[in-house]
Amino acid sequence: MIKVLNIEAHEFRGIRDLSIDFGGENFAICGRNGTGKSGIVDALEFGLTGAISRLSGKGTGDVSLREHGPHVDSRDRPDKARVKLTVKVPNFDKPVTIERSVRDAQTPTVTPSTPSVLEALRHVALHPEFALSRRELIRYVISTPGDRAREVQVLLQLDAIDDVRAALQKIANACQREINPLRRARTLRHEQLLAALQIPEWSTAKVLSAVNAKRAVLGLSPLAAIAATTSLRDGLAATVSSPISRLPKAQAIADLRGLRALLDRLGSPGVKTQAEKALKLLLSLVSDPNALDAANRERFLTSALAYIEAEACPVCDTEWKPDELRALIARKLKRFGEIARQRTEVGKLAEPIVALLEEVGNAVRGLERYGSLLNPKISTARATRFREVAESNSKVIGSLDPLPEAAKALENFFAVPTDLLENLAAVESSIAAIPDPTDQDAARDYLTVAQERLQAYRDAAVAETRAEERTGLTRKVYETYGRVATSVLNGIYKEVEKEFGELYRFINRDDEDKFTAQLIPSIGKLGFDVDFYGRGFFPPGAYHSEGHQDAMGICLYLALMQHLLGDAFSFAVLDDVLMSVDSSHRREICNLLKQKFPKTQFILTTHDEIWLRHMKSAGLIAPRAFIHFRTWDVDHGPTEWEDRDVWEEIDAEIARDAVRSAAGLLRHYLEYVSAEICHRLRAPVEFRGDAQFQLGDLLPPALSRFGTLLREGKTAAQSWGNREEMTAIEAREAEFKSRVAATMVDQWQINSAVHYNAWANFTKEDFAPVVKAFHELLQSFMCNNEKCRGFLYVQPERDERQEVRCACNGVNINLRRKK
Amino acid sequence: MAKRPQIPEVPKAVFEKFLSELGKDPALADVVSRLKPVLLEDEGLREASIKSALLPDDSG
Repeated sequence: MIKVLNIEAHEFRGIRDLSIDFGGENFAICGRNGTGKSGIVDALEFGLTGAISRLSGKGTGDVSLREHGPHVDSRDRPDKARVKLTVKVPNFDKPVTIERSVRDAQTPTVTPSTPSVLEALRHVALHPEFALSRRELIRYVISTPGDRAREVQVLLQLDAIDDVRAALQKIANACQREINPLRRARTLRHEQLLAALQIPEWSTAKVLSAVNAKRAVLGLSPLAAIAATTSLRDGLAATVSSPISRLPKAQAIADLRGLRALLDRLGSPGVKTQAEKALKLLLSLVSDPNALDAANRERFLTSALAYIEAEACPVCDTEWKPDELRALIARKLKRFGEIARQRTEVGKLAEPIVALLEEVGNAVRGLERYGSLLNPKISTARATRFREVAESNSKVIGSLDPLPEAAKALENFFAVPTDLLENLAAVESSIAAIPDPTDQDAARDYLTVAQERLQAYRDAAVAETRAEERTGLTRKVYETYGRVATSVLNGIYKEVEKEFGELYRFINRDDEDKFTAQLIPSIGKLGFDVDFYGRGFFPPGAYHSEGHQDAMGICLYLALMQHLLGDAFSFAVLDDVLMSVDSSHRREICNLLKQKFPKTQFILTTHDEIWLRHMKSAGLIAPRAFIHFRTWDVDHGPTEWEDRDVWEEIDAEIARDAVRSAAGLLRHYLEYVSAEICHRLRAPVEFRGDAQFQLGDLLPPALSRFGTLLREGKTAAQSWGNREEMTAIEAREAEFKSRVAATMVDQWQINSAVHYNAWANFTKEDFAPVVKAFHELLQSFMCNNEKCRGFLYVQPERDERQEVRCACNGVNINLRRKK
Repeated sequence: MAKRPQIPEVPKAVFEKFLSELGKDPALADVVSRLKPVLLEDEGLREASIKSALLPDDSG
């Protein structure tokens, strides 16, 4: 991935005009709530991906990037809302700029746009998860297994895996569903073939015997075998008249005999018992309104599930991610598990009845055909009505939809109407009256009809075999996919689990050095249990504190990102993610980020100045690698505690005679900067449990400590005989004392609250010298080098003081005396 | 930036291993060669593309 060198944002979210140099290094953004920190996070995300996750997805309602990405005063000018990032791309030696406006969010201007640069930026856009907020962090840890699985799924971008799994399952299921009807069709064709051959069961010997007897009558050579392409009427003249135009008496008699047998079976006790079993179970669903309603819903949801293909609901076209909609429907379907089981059982019981009704319907079609071939024709309208009912019943029982109709069909299907039997008897009687054909005609009819039905059977068998092969193939592919996906994901979770445990132990090695965790994947869920001081494994929210849970969240995120991106994990934004972690563990998190992720550039936001200090003192960020927002307003956006800007702003306020405003600004800045100086110089400040330090609490100790340090520096220089150093410190000390005197701070110290507040009542002529005095006083605490201008600080941070220096080392006052 | 198919890392690893597993069965060599571009190169995964890779002769 990349590292970010600089960001410029204009009219974007709460920002009017802002530029920050990150330098490709870790960087902190500090500021109270509402000072604009999140706007920077949004700008970074937008610059890299063209989107802002906070403005999309669940719970964002009518908020959108297009409408709400620009500053509120530029909401009609999405072209003015712009972000420009300067980034370092791996294996590319020049800085790259990415500039995009809200209007053209997806078409950034990239300079230079070489293929390798574009490839690197595509990779970044593919991983918007580089930004982590506390809201997301908590979802990894204390959410339900189902929700956690979705969060991890989003992070690891597993949607495509599920999409393919769902598609393969759907295809395999569709193939499977084709088999039963085709199997029934083949059985039916087989029965019809046996009827035409006039043999009770299929055997090659019996077929050859029956067929060759007829062939002998026609003087045709006998068939030696029945191969896949054998024609029973091989050698018979092609010009022979079609049996359609002339009724084949023997076949017709055999077919109608078959129909009678089927009608007998329809009313047989065995079939009745089977139907009654299915009906009983079905009625238990139909007779209970709640069960019926549930069954209908289950049917509806199952159908809906099968029809999800595009990114929309198949019913109302509302936009959905297919996997989210499937998961929602699957959750709803779970409630109908028992109903689904009963429906399946009814289906199995009813299957032979469906097959029998299909056979009956087909046989009745034969009756209808023979009736129309007779001369005079016999109307078979009653048979037709019966067949239509039988076919309709077969369909409704086969689909069990709607259930009450299926129940009615099961109740009535075996009642064979008398008028059908009369119809059948009339056709049988007329056929019997037809003069018997000659032996040759009878043989020709036999071979022709038998060949027709053999071909129909072969076609049915090929269709069934093909469906079985397709099912076998698609099932195998689906099962292989499921096995591979599960194995890969389990492997990933095992590695992440191990990495997570190591990271968490690093932070908590003082009291949880044996900590382990378990990621437990199952379908649609990801369980997450953690060890609690050797007492067993529990969900993170069970016994661990909120601070520990936050630490777990960041460790799990880092472990997932490390696994996902490996060495390419070069950039991450941690947006106020450690608010519940105590100071000692924050220090360890600093060490963790520094030591375990040395190649990753972290941008960290926080509202907590103490946390900012931790980051600096732990060396996670360089001394100047932070921005401290002091305020935000809609007209100006975020403004920072930047020395030069503050003095210019105070001067501007005085110039427009706004002394009260200038006085407030001076006081707040002096409070901020005094705290910074006290921290850097290790000044002893009277402890306040609420950490609410005012200027009177901070400035005097800062002045006092600096005076002490200068004296210590002089003493040390003297001990080393370093006259030059002594002279320089004396000059600095004299200047410092003069500046302190100019501020009259010693007098104000008597009653700081009264005196600082009194500034507001000054005239601008009275107040301007005060400002000048403090401005000059603060110079004493800073390096004079224009490129540095950093505040001086004592080294080391703890233990014996050794030196006072600045970041560029232009100031370095040795405090250690010669022994 | 010009668009080009991007398969995220984890799905890509699953697809590649899946194709490799399928490829162990010589009878599935044709299926693998048809599935490969669908899974690793197509702009978006579509059920219809997967189906025609599995069942190229399917008319339905």
